[in-house]
Amino acid sequence: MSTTRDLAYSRLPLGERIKRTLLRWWPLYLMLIPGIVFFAVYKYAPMGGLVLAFKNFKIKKGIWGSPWVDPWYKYFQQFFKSPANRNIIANTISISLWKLFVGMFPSLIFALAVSECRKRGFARIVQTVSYLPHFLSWVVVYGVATAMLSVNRGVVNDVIKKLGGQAIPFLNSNEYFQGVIIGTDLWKGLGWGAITYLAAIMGIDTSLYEAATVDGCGRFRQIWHITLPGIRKIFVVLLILKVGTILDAGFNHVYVFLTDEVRSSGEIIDTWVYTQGIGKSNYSLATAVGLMKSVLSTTLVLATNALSRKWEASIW
Amino acid sequence: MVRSKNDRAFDALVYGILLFVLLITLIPVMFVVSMSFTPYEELIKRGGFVLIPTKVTMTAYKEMLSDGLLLGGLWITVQVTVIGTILNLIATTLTAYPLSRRQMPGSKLVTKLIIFTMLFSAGTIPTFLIVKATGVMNTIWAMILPSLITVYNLIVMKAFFEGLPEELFEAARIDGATEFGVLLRIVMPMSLPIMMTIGMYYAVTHWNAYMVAVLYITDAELRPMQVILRRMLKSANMDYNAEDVVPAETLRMAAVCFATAPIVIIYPFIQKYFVKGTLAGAVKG
Amino acid sequence: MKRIVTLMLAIMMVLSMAAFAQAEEPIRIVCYTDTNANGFPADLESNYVYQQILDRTGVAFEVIYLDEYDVALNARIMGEEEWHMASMKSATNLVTYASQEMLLPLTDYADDLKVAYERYGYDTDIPSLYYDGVQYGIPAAKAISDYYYLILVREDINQKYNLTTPTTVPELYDYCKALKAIDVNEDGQDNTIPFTGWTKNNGFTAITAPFGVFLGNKVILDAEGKASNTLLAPRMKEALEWVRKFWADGLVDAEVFTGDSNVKANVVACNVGVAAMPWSNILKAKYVEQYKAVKPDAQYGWIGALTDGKGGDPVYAIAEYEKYTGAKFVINEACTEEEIEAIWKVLRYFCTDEGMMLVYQGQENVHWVYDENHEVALTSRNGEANFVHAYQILGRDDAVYLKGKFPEAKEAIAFGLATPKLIVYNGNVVCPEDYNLADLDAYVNEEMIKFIKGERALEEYDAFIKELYDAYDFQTWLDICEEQLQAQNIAK
Repeated sequence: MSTTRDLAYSRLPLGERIKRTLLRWWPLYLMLIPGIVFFAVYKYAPMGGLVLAFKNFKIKKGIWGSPWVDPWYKYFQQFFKSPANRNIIANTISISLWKLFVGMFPSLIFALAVSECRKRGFARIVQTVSYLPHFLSWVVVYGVATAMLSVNRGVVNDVIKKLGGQAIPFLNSNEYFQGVIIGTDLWKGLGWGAITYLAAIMGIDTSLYEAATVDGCGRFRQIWHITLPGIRKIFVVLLILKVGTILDAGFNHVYVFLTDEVRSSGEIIDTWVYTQGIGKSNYSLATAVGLMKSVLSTTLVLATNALSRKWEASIW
Repeated sequence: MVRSKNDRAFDALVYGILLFVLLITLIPVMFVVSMSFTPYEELIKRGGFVLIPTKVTMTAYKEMLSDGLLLGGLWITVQVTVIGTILNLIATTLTAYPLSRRQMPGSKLVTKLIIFTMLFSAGTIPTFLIVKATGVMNTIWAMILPSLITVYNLIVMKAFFEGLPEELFEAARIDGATEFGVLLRIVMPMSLPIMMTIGMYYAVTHWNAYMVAVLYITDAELRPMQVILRRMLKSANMDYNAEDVVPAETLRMAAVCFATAPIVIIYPFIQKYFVKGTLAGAVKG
Repeated sequence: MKRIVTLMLAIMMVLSMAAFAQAEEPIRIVCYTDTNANGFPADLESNYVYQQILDRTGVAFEVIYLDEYDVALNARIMGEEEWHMASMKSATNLVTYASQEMLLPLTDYADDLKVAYERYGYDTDIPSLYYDGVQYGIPAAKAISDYYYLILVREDINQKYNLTTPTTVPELYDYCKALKAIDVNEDGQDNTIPFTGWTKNNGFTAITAPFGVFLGNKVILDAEGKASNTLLAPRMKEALEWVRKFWADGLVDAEVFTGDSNVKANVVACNVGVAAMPWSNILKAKYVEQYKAVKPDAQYGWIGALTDGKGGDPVYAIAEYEKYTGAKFVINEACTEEEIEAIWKVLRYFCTDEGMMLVYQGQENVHWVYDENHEVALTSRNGEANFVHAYQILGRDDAVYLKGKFPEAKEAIAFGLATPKLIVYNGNVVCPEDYNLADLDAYVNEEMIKFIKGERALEEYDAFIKELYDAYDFQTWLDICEEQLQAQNIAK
């Protein structure tokens, strides 16, 4: 039915087609204007700055006046030739993959628990408490982590020692460092990450549950057949968006926790770029690495998005 | 109602999960709060952490607020958060709604172009130059306009709009409602939960904004709270200048509590709307 | 008669012009700094340093601290925000800006600089102030307080348990062993930390300096006066062995590398026996008050530098070569004549007695007074002067300054200053853009920790040095150091 209409439509001359489209959709195009202006001015206009990756940046000459670098891949080479490179790519991917796959499920399970809890008051209290860590800056989280995990004065090690065990150097050994990073990330984002899922669960048509109850459907099965399909779309969308950030293992987070002792397991691309690029005013290097990350992320997002079509969810 | 064994097991699991989350989040947060009320010497004596304070003092809070800097910063932050969040929500809705209508020619292209900006970011210096060129430097708008729409929030909102049943729009169109009418009278009431969620995300971003203020604000009177706070926390390391006296741990924790409390207090009021949103969802069914 | 009239007219003109000039807006000078002073007044009205400079020189001299200094300063320069002076965080920064012709060459201002040199007492030929043979940096006497390291010990414990303070490294080892068996904070728990230090590897200098060694990449002169590196020091393995022994026997704070605040908390909590750190971290009145509140009878004192126990000289801590200067300011090349004149006016004011004391201690008779011996004594309002050091554009003479500022630590400061030190020359070497020093430093620090903790065998040390040559181009770095130190007539 609609195909015949489309066919008829596509036979019309271009001018006529534009006219009809505008006539039909103009209020929506009108709504888009502020958004488009915003993205054009504040996002696209500065993007010309990416050219810095290929320029020998001179502050006084500005971005466009700076000379081209020779060879053009100089900064990319600097990144790949750095001996530090042996670890940082592996660390970055390892930390962010763990964050991605381990990080999403606890929030989801927590959101389900909150929505299923019969005592609304209790659920609300837990929920309110659960997002508190989100507001603490990483510096403070580090302080809290020290209070819990430190060898000398940490609560956890205190308990271990009292039970006759050996203190575990959580914060200052390469074996535990990535675990601590993932754990603290999980802790900080658990409740906050659940908010989106909860909003999606709230949006599910309640009559579906009523019908299911009448049919004698248990609550496990209700979750499986109604809740999870109901939030599948948002879950997949969030997953795709997170894949786009796979090369960001969380600069602010890792930077605060990183010490020389755990550099071989903890240095990530962004912390390296920070000391190499920003610390030495080498914006070209920082831009080049950023550009490389962007290209990779885009590829990953495109791939995941294509895959996700199978679950009928797409970000565009 | 007879509750089955299965049902009870389910409830036990639910309570188990909630209780676990409550404990692991509450205990460390309690440390922060308790530490802010404990005298510094007492804190050190007890090994650097106190779960339940035995001696309570307001010294840290008094010292923190003594010069009035933080209160001034708080006022700026409140302005930026309120104005910013309202504008964020309006702009995000106005953009997400048309893009959620996939039949609209061009919606896919525009979405792709927008997602592109999430993956490719221009960097600090080029963005600074544009912000300066738009003439908002050293005004509160510098902390609002450059982050008017966050791609992530936009996509989440768009996904939510896409989930609304198509028949609704059809019915409204047959009734002769305009697009703005549909958005205002049909979509918005159903979107309260997502509006509140996204609004909360935006508000928290404004509340915690630091780098934008550092870059775009030089006027001391426009400095938001986080910048002042960060200066307090930053000198928490050992002294690099002989003159510095490290603010005691208690003072730092007091600053954290001070900065977090307002938003924590407001949250339960917003949570109410989540429930209301559910009701709206039920009505439509 | 005519002449007198002309003269009178001239005088009147000059006077009226002077009056007119007074009524004019003062010239505004914007000076960005990376020195974050707690307690900086929120506005200029209540900033008495700003007001006094304005009153004495007629220049509105604004010192502005920037958070995230590097990024913020570059963004402002590119955005063409007004700036006249800025502090350079390192010699590399000065090179970056000077090579782009953004800085005012100071060649024409030799006379003005001389006043500052004489007043603050430092040398003129400091290499890090120059780029391509031209001086761009305004020298500032180094705040050497960072290097006033002391080996702090617990006097109360020494007395109570009749311990003899160590004078050699082997004695320090035995001393720490003895401490380990003692409950130094008397809380009934086994949590004594015999040895700790600030910061990172620096604390270990108490043990390694007597061997002429620092556990990191530092430029030194060898026995023949040639440029060398601590990593190649002949007695490195001997020194490392000692540190490893301390570590292996559990005498060292397990978290000495983790964070400064950790180390500090242990010292204040009084469960530390020996702490190798700058005096300022514990002997300031405020901190003494803190640890006394935890344990009223605790008492931190200090001991002299140790020897290697084999007849060597006592050495402790490292210090930059005296000709190195720290924070230094530069002037924007785009300044107008009037602005440059205004800047020198202010700098000359800092060279007067009044100006110098203003940026040292605040206002006379308000924040400090001269006592009967003409020594500086602080008043009860001295707390209001806790930001004035941000105005020390020309630096300060620490020997004079600290004594006045921290009378409670007067002796410790003098002792720290006199302690024999291992002189390093990193400040004299400007690393060229195409050598990746940051990577080298990061790797050296990482591996040194492995050697200290015994995660890497001492036999591998030569292999480690070979890695530096192969993967990090260590030879280039050594050549850079040698060349520059020779050019400065420091090394042979």
